[in-house]
This record gives sequence, C-alpha cells and structure tokens, in this order.
Amino acid sequence: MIRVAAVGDVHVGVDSAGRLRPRLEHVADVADVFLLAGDLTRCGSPEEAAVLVDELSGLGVPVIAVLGNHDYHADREVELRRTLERGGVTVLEGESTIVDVGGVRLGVAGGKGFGGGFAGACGSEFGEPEMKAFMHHSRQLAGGIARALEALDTDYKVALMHYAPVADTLVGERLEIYPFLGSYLLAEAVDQAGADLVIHGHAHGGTEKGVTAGGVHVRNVAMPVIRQAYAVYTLGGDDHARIGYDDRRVSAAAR
Amino acid sequence: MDTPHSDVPEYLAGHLHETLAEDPRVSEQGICVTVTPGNVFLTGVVSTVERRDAITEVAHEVAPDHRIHNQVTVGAFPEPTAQEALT
Repeated sequence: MIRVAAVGDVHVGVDSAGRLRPRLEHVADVADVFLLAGDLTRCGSPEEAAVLVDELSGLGVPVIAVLGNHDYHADREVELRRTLERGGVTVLEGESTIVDVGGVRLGVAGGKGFGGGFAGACGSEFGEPEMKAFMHHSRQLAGGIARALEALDTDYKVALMHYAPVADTLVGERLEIYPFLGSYLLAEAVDQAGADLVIHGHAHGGTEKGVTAGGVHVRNVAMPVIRQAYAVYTLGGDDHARIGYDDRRVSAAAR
Repeated sequence: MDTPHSDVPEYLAGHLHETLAEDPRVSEQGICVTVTPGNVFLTGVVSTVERRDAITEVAHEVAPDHRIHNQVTVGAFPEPTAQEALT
C-alpha cells in the first residue's frame, strides 16, 4: 500500500513563516510521499519559495511539486523552481519521478496544466494570436503530462497538476469561470497514458472528488476545499481509516 | 489605457475583484465581491490576518465612498483525521 499526502494552494508568503510547519509535523507518520499541487507561493517570488522550503525542511518523506499560476506571477519561475530544488523539493513540468516505498514503486508525473474549458464548451486555437497562444499553451502542457506518464513503468502512477482535468471537482465554482480553471485535455492525457490518481488544486471553491471519463480518480486538494493541512489517499489499501496521532504514530482502525 | 473605474455596482464589483487579484498587497483571486449602493461586501478565505486586513485597505482605495464590510475569514486548517482508500 502506498500512502499519498497532498495539498494545493498553500500560497506561502513572506508573512507565512512558521504557520504551515506545525500542521505538517506528522506527515511522515501517515504518508510515504508529500505532493504539492501548485500555487505554492502568493506572488511567485523566490523569497516566498525560500519560506516554503523552511516549512518543508526535514519532513521525512519525498516532497514533489508542480507550480501554479501564482508561482508565475512575478515572472521569476526559474529562480523560484531553483530555490525549491535546492531545498530538496522535486519540481515537475512535463516530467516524472519515482519513489520506492518498501519495494513498491510509485511514479509521479506532473505539470502545471492550464485552462481552456471542457468538452463542448472550450476554447480552440482559432482567431486572434492571443487565443491561439492560450489554447496552444494548454495543449502543449497536457501533452507534456501525457508523455511523462507514458514514460513511467511503476506499480502505481499519480498525475500531479495545478489546473483541473474534469468539471466534477469544480462544482461550487461559478460556471462562467470553468475555462479558467481547467481543461479536458488534461483528463484526456491521463486517460490515454493511464494513472491511478490525479491530484490537482486551483479551484478553491470546488469539490474534492471526481473521476475522469476513463475512470481515474481525481482529487481537488486545494486547501480551502479539503479544509485541512493536507489530505491522505492510499493506493492498494482496502478501506478508509481514521488517523490517530496519540503517540506520534498512525493508529489506523477501520471505520 | 486602463478602464476607468465606475460607481455602477456591477462594474465596481468587477474592478474590485480584479484589483484584489492584481494588487501585490493582496494577490487573492478567490474573494467574492458584492456591491450595493454605498456598501462593499467581501467574503472568502485567506491564510493570514495580515492578508485579510490588506483586503480592507485595498478595497477602500478602490471604493473610497463605500463602506467596506470585510467578512473574509482566516482559514486555520488542521492536520487530517482520516485517510481515503482509493480502490
């Protein structure tokens, strides 16, 4: 069994030092890997990323992240990524990484993704150059995630992204902004390449649980959606379980 | 050229929503803005008290003739108490 902890949209700023870490103290007790689904920072500065690195320091499990739209705002995403990587965070953009958990191999493929909308109500590479560029960017990043997933030959595969691959997990958001929240191209990429789970964020007003047309679990882990410091999902387990922190160890009793 | 701000409630709400995303003191895209004559109501969740207070400051600059009702809450999200098995 592999235990995946995940959260998105932590929006760490220089005013956030020390706020996240106390709620991450037990990650290594309850999970084998910690995934960050973009919008790691508030404005996309490397200084904010450095605060996040401090919050994640010594977590005890591999930390894997993708960037979100906030992480691009300062046009310093290259520096930001470098800061995270120097701090031990693996950052994915059309790339993958493998975590070995007691001989079971978990592959994580990821990328930011982008908007564009969902089948039958989406943009297309037509018209003004700006519109073509918008949709080209979406198509290009979805393709990167598909190729990264296809390259994995592991026991389990997780697709990590910031934008939503399905409309299911947007329920609660205003319908008018769906094209800014995700793209069906992401779900199509996942279904073509195969995965056990998709993790995303971005849609703060959305819903946690969804599924792609191909039957892959989708979880929106934006912090305001899950309303906790992170969510824990198990792959290869049998049942839901409660988590106890009594003696800093997991006491998992079936519900 | 920037679009001139308007006191028409619907347009003012739009400009406020954009400014709350674009102003670096706030940088929040998820704040819900409702404008009625003389009043601005703001709801949503942010992660620090400082960010909530900055919303009031910025909203007041955009709509100085309106009373700002900042009903944004500060999220205190705890450690999880359950895990979900995906089968």
